[in-house]
Amino acid sequence: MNTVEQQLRAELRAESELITQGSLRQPDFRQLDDPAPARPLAGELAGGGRRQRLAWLAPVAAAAAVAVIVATAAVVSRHGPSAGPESNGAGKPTAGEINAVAAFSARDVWAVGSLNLDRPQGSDASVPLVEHWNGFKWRRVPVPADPALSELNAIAGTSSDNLWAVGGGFGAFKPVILHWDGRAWRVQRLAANKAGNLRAVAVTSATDAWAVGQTGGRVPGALILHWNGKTWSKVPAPAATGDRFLSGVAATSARDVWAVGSAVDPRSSSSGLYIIHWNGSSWTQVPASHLHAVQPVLESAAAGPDGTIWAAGLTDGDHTATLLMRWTGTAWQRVAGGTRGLGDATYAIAVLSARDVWAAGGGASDRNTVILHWNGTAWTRIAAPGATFPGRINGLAATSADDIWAVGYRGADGYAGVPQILHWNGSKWSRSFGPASTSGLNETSSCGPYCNDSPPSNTPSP
Amino acid sequence: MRVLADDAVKRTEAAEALSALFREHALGLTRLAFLMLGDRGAAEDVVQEAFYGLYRAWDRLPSHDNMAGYLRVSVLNGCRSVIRRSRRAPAPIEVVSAASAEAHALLGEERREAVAALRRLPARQREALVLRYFADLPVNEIAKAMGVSPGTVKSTTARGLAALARMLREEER
Repeated sequence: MNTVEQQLRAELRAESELITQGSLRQPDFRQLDDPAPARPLAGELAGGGRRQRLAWLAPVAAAAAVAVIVATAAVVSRHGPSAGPESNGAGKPTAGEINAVAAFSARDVWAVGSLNLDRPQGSDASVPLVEHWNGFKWRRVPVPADPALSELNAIAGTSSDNLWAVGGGFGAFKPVILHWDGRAWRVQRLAANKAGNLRAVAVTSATDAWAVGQTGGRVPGALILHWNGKTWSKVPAPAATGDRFLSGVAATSARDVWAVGSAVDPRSSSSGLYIIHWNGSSWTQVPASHLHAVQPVLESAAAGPDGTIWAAGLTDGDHTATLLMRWTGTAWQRVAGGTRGLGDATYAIAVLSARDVWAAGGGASDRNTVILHWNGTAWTRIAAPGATFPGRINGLAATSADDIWAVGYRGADGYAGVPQILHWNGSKWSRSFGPASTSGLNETSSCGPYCNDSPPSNTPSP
Repeated sequence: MRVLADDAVKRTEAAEALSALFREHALGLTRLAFLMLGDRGAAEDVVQEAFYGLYRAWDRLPSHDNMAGYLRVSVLNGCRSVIRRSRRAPAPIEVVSAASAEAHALLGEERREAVAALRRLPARQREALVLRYFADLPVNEIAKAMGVSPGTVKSTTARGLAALARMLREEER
């Protein structure tokens, strides 16, 4: 019996062979040189006006208009604020995940992610998801519709009236930043023509915030944006060998900010860590040596109130493994993870103090969640019943040792994931948001994946 | 005049380099676009557009290494924009693509169920699966091409595969 992978591989090859070398037309490049001289290429291939200038493009436009990919109903979020269950037939959520969480108190917790809508064939209808915990229940908070925004990847703030959420979309490759002023989420205006996606945000005050990610376009790079109280502007990333990604950012003050990610050598496809530091006036790359890691990738960084800094990620060689690193004050040091499970990866980290750190992620192919705790000397795997299920933890937040939030998705083999939010009350983990299983939510659940199908058993009391 | 002559030489060199790249990579790229779009004409147009784009940008590129990667990202961008445009089409148009009819004819009664199911996946999952199982790219390379983190590639691929498995199972019933 063939596996799905084998079947897919064989069918893709067979299908692709419908295209043969003989059928391809060799383009005549020189025809572009006249009559109109080649113009500098600005922005994305997909972007705009220069298309019409070239005669050969006319057939493309015609082909696109025929819409070979079957197009049906429009996505509801394109036309108005998205909130609550997407009501029309095209918009029923079928899956989703929570990517990040920010906790200010036991009665003020925010979680962001995305929902996949019941989509017309071939389309990619995802909408951003924002949920707020008021101490009693989770409530979905509306966000403005923005065609470029289909997922929120991170959220951070100084208080519940100064919050930033960042993300982007798949097709549009445009970074999106939202701000919460205590009453509503608003889309922030960014300078035009920035392509990319934002993956992390850190905030130290009302006039200082950083958002990082990667640029879109054909030469990928690190994207760093800074908020000075008035505008978001792009700050150059320090040079590194290869294509850089930034996935995490953490700040202890406006003069001490860390951003982490990886740099991929385009020729060998091998990666190295990309760790950079902001000292208040410039970003510089900080080397991480003696890693003993194959293809290391850092996914997130966190700073504790005492200034303790950790970063979490994975090694992505033949065998995936957790990558947990701390800043000793003079160097980045890898600390052996509390898991021997090959395939385990960490995507999130939260720091309470030098002796109280949480990290979380997923096992091989997200077969199970992974939650780890650092007590100052060693990482220990937490195998609590309420925290272990098929799926993955994407984000962590902590307000105290007995108030930890973990967010991600639940997804057994054969099902798309559903959003999950877990809470640690100091003695046990329990589910606070999202269905208890993935069966039955795709079709039967009337409120979709973001309803509480049973009251949370162990959430903080008001 | 000297400047013009130099320019003409440069253009000729660029055209020659591009022609060589086309001979080497056009087939693979067109197949990739065809798997993404399900339509031969649209796939060929996207690939041509990518080569023309590279030709126009040629003199301004800092390096001409890894042009295969550059072209691949161009082609994927082109595919995404075709998909986006088709989604904005005013009326639903049901088209049985010539390509799939041809595929069935070639295969006799055997249907390519996995490919058919793949076309029903969200574009992002489809892209991850095609890059993984057709182009055989490593996770880092897929991450670069898709503009997402390696972790996201892994979960997107895992979920795409899971959704595919579910669709294939449902079809068997």
